[in-house]
Amino acid sequence: MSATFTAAGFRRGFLEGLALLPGMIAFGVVFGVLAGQVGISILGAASMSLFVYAGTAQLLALHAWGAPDLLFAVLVAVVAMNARYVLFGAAMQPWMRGLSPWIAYPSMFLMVDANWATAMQERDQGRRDVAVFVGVGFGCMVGWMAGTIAGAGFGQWLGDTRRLGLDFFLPAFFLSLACGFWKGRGDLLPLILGALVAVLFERFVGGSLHVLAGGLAGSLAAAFLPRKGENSGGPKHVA
Amino acid sequence: MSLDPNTTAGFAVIISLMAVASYLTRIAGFFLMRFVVVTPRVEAWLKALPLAIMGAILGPIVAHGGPAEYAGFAATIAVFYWRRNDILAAFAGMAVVAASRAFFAL
Repeated sequence: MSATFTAAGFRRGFLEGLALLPGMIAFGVVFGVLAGQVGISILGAASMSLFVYAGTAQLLALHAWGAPDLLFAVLVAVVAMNARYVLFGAAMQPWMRGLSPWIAYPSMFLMVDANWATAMQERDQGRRDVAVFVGVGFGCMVGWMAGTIAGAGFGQWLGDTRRLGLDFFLPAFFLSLACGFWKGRGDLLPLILGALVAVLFERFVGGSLHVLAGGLAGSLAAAFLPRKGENSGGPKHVA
Repeated sequence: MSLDPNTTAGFAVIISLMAVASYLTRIAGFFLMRFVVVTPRVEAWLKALPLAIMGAILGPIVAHGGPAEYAGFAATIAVFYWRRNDILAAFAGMAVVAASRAFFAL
């Protein structure tokens, strides 16, 4: 059976996506406010949210705004933050097999964490209506745009955003994501090595490459260093 | 090449390139999966990538942080495991940081 794309599926997905509205609006407001702080207009913030559609990448890009290597830094921010989408996309491909590329490729534009999770749940339940995934993505987009515009519009009346802890939203959000990815002690190596390499890189090299350097070092080490129970002649442990 | 993000043209170029980069990451894995043989090594690498990137982002922030930020991180972890909601946890961390800065003038 190949994947389908139905109107009913889109409706179901969109309604499911609306349940995520409060969170998406709140996230959008944080981005909009911080975008306004670095001098980006409401239209600018809205167009970034619409076309880039990657909250974490956009927030990280704001950190680089005004840096001398701005273009390079924002692109590194996008690639580093969206690197997980490469993995998400790889997992999506078998589920979407059979769908016309004219539908599949535009659909992938709307992929974010939330609707990817939906797609994986649908897959596990044996359902293959890709329109559900697109519907959730649309629902998220509505909240994300509304939040961005509201934040960029009203942000100027908030005053000192550091006082409100707004600069801490992104670190805290990443920590929550890390907690979500955390599966057990085997994850300690990529996390800690990634952090250490990034700290050293930031201190001694500078620029905006520390995320990439740490991310590659941590993940490659995890893939290539032998671990307990792997390639060892010792007794096998069954957890 | 240096671009001024405060001009319309400069901003448009930056946004366009960001949008292209963002879309490419969304379709790269999808496209490549048609050709790639996912060996156990490749799978292990892909699996470890998200946490390594999170570590690389958080490391420097932890290194530069103070008591307010550490309290915020603790609150984030607590709320995440309590409600399993990442945006809610982030807002809890933010609130604790704001409160710590206000009360202890950090």
